[in-house]
Amino acid sequence: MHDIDLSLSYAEAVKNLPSEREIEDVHVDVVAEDDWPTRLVEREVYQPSAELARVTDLALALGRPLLLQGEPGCGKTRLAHSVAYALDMPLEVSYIKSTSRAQDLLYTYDAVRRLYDSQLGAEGPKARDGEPLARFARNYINLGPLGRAIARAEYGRHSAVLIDEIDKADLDFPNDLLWELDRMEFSVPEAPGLGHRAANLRPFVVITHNEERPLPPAFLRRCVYYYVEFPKTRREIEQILSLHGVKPALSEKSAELINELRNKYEDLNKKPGLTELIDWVRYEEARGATPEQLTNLPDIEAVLKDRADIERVRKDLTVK
Amino acid sequence: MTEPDERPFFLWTLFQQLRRRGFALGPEEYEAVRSALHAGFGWSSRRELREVCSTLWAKSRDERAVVAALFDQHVTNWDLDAGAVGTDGELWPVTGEGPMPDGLDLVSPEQEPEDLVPQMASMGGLPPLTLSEMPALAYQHVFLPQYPVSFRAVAQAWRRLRWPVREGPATELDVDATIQRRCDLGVVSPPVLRPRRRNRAKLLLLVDRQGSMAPFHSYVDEVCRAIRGAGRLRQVDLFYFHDTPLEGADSSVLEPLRGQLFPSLDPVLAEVPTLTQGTLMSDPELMSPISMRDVVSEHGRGAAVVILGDGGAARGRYDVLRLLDTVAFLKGAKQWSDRLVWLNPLPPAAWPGSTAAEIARHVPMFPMDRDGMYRAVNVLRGQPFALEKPLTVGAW
Repeated sequence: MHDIDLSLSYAEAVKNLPSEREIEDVHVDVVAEDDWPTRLVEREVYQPSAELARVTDLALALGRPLLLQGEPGCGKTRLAHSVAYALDMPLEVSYIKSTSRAQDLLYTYDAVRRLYDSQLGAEGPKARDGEPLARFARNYINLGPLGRAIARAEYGRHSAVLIDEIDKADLDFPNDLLWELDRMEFSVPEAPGLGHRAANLRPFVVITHNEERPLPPAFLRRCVYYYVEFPKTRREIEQILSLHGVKPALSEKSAELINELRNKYEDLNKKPGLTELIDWVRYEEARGATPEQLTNLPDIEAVLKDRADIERVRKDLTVK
Repeated sequence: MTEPDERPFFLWTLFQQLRRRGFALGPEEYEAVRSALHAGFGWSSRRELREVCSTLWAKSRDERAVVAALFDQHVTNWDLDAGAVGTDGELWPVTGEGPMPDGLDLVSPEQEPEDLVPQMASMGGLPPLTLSEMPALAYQHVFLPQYPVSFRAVAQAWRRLRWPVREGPATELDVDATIQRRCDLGVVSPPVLRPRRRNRAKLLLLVDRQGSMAPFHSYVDEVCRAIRGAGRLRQVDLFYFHDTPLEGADSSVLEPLRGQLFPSLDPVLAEVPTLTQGTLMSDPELMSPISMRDVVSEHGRGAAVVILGDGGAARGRYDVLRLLDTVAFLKGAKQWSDRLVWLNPLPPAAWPGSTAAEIARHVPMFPMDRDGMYRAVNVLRGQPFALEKPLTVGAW
């Protein structure tokens, strides 16, 4: 059990955000102990529900990874961006693919390049002190997103880590991360002596999960779990739309329409999410549509992504 | 971990209830909720406390529903004004009488206005029943299916079915070949790369549907979903049938057996024709037929075949025609696949006396539990399996 850390509160921080921020740049080869490069990041437009904000704070306080599940397009991934921005942390992103290995999150070792370099012998690339690079394995180690976050924590700086769509990976992928997520430390066997260990603070880890595959119980035990739902009330939807710069008249109408769509057609093959809604309304606004015009659901292809769904809704519309 | 003091503590009860329902919770998880409470979470409302419990103890949507329901059931009179932080900072909320009130006392009869309660007029001499005598439960029931084998266990069993083949772009360093080439040439040479391994194993699932299989539909579906979703197989195809995969084997071969009550197929086994023509169904409602020839040519070749069915064991009858059709199909299947197993949702104890026991003499049949599936995968992987009466094709 790690100590409870109440110094960070997302629920508080998200209430009042500057429009842009200087945040440490994550696109670096080596995590610097000090004098790190920074990058200007724009505000993340995101409206968490009160519950989600509280759960995020709980995960922050307990130092456990936050596991988010929910319909696609409901803002699971955006939460990580929002937390990172609100709490002034750099965000390390790892999009999981079917070939991802757990170790890649920590570091990769470029053995092939080292072999090439070593074959050139004295002619090969050299480090600043004149030694050939190929002499030391550590020159060929690149830290992965979680590895960089742990290194940063070792130097006393916070970071957020997004592990997106963890269920895409192999069945054992989450299990291979248990130790590192628990202890927030790792070592690199290829380069003896190299490794990092988070001292007093822990990187904040957000994991998203699409229910494609069940995760191992041992892994689940260590997470804080939350199911992100589509906003329940029209007010919430309107708020989110207005955050994205949609005018009240249009956002009111579209919130009504999307609620009607989702409630009337409960068995849509693919229910429209927030992402689709925002795209659609912003497009309609840009082309100057009036709220009345929205009733006929123009350009519905932006909202519904299944042929059968579109045909069904269209048919009902013409009957009306 | 400190043991809760003598006062009943509903979190402990809730924790025990969840453990009893197979939640993967340990002392650490209990401690996590306690720490969260210490840190000040979950105090503002009953709803928030429930939220803390379900975020830390539930790990899926279904589990959330269970935690919420149990919370409502066991935390009956958590009152924020009365429940309080103990004097010395100890966090034992006051729960009232006890952690587990008897269900029927939850709603007292006088709470239900008498005139709203539906009444049944008694037709016989019995006193009428009113709903007020059976008060509604104060909490919801949550029903979740619990299968003999969990989704993950099925996935793990079937993941062992591998046919790793290196294909695709060469990205992996082949250390041995690199060293070998360097030794051969004696001069500096570029490293040798090779493609990654990928699983090329194909699986064809044939599922018995309806009739005696009806009770197992949901379990069989879950198993098929698990095999499809998590098996990491190259291709999994699913087709359905009723009772026997193919029907219509020529029953004239049974002529010598006439007059026997339970004729054994053994004397005429060699004469049983092979059955390769016919139709399977491509949907579980058995509405869309697809010809066996198409199934074989598109999905069958090189695939491991698994038949999921009770083979007549559910009703326990012995049906020689069903056996004949099944054997004829199995003989036909031998022509296009050399790996075939049968998974039976009924345990082996239910097979004797039924057609299933006879089928099990000709084809490796395993119960559809964890152990059975491991053994089935072993056979599909090529482990020898001694059959009492193996089928031979073209022996007559």
